[in-house]
Amino acid sequence: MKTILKYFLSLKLTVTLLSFSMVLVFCGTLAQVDKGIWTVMDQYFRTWIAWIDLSIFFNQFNSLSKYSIPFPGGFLIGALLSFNLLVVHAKTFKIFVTGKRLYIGLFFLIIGLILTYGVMVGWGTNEVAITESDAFWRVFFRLGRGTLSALVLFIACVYLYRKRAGMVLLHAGILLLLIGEFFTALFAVESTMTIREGQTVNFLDRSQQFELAFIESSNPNFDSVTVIPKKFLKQNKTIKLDDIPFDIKVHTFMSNSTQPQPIKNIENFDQINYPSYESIGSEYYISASREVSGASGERNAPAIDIELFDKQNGNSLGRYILSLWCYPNFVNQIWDMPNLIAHADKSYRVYFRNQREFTYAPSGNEFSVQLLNFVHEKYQGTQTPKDFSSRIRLINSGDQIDRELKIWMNNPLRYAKKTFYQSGYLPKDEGTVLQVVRNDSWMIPYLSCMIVFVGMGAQFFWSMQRSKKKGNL
Amino acid sequence: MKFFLVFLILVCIVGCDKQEIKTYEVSKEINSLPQLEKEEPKTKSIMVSDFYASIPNGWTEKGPSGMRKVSYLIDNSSIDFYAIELGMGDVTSNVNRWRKQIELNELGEDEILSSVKNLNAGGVPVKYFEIYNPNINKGILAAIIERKPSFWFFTAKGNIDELKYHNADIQRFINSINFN
Repeated sequence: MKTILKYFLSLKLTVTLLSFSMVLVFCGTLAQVDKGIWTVMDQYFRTWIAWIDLSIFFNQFNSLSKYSIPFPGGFLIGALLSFNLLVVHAKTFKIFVTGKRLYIGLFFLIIGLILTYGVMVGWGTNEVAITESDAFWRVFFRLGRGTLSALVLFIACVYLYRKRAGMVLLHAGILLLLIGEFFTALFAVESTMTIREGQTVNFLDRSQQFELAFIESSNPNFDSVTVIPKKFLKQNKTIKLDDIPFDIKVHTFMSNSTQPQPIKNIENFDQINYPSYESIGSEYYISASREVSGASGERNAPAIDIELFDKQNGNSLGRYILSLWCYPNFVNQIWDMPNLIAHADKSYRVYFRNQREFTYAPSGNEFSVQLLNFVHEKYQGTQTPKDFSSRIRLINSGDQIDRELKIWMNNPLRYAKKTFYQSGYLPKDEGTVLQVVRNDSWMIPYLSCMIVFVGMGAQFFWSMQRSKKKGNL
Repeated sequence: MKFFLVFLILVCIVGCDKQEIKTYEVSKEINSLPQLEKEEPKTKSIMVSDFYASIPNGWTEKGPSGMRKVSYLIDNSSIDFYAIELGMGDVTSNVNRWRKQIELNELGEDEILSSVKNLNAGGVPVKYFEIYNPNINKGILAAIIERKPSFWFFTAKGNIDELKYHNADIQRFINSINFN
């Protein structure tokens, strides 16, 4: 154990890990030329071992481009750096004070930690937080809250570490930043909420998670929906479910697909080896496509090629191609192209879509958002957009919330641990697209910055004082 | 240190994916999206001197002007979409000319041909290009149609968001073209 700890005390390790992280960022940036940003995030940064494609360096050499080399991933580098920092912290910054000074220091430390926790989880903020005035003050107060806890922690450090307080606080701030990013990578979820004017919506479309959804609408009062998350949709795997009258075999999963084109418009279609699909696939040509470049800002439209089999006799019920292009919310509700499947007296609308998350407040009560009005202002005499804003009604009858609110650019709504940003709009301004982010550690960067700022300020001040005393200044 | 390791392991376990296959019931009122047009949006047929085409709602045709055979105004957008007819139609030099217009480097023939999207205008093959430069938020959607002995160029220029938004309509329009 001591040998391991000694190894982690090394400054060489810190420098090596920082160098590794630079290499990783460089490779991840290059990889975004050919791959989507989220694919690169998962392959390089949000993983313990990153597999670096050699094609990012040797694009022209086909023989090399097939191979990948293992490299420490973002999680591994971050975890080792955090551990390194923690070990150095524990070894170097020891508390030597005793008696009353120690107790006062510990008292302020506890208060500081409680305050830090409070700032992180949003103590003192409104349940429904919306900015009606200048966004500047919102950021200012956020930094102010971070400064308050940083100052209390600084007082604790002064009592406990005397003139090394600045250094200790500075390192603690960096450690908090690393841990915060780790939490963000693990728990943050990005979604969108698409609402037409007058419509009320109680679900989000998760941007990076997908599902196969079978919607059965025979009951006049409700739809019965069976969803299969993407992680269960593995190539050549057959999924047998009690709730639907057929088995599903996955032929291929495509990480990106082409926009549906009418088959009649495809040149030399007869010469293309295109499976004989039912429903949408019989009218439209959809095929696998190279992933969009992370640098382009475009989105991938994953697709899945499935075949259904009768549960009773095992006969094939047809093959279907399902693409995200067919899901209305992916195309800003320009079209709705479900695959239609009828079997055993039941008919289904089937989508491969963004994973749906229903909206719940922390109390457990469901809430919904109604779009009252969407405004898309343009600069006078031009078509150049000036401002987008959504006047919404937030409804949570269980918590007795029924409020009209405005969400517009850079002025999001915060509710139920989620932030709702104005993100886009539907054709002819008929509706709004809100980006919804849940990131419980979103305050950590503000806190870390202020902790590092206070620690650095103190360190500089004391260094200057020392230099003054020595007559260097 | 032990505490840190245990904490890390716990975080990883808590962070594990909890997705599952499930069946649930949802109310029709809230979750039923409007049934939109399944195929192409409503269009109206137009005839320019040399071709017929279907233009989506919200497009307004403008007559010839200068070299332009026809131009289209697209509602709620600043896209400049027009058609010209030229005697030359070298793909590489034209694509590189468009790339230079939006401050992109020139590409070799192989790279350009690998980015082509093949459309079909009434039996006539169409080479369709989508060129974007996110750094200056500009893009060009362009179709080259060979009508021996000349070439038709359909070019849409504008900012990236607007072009992407109208890309599907523009492709449908190109696919609907029928030369006389």
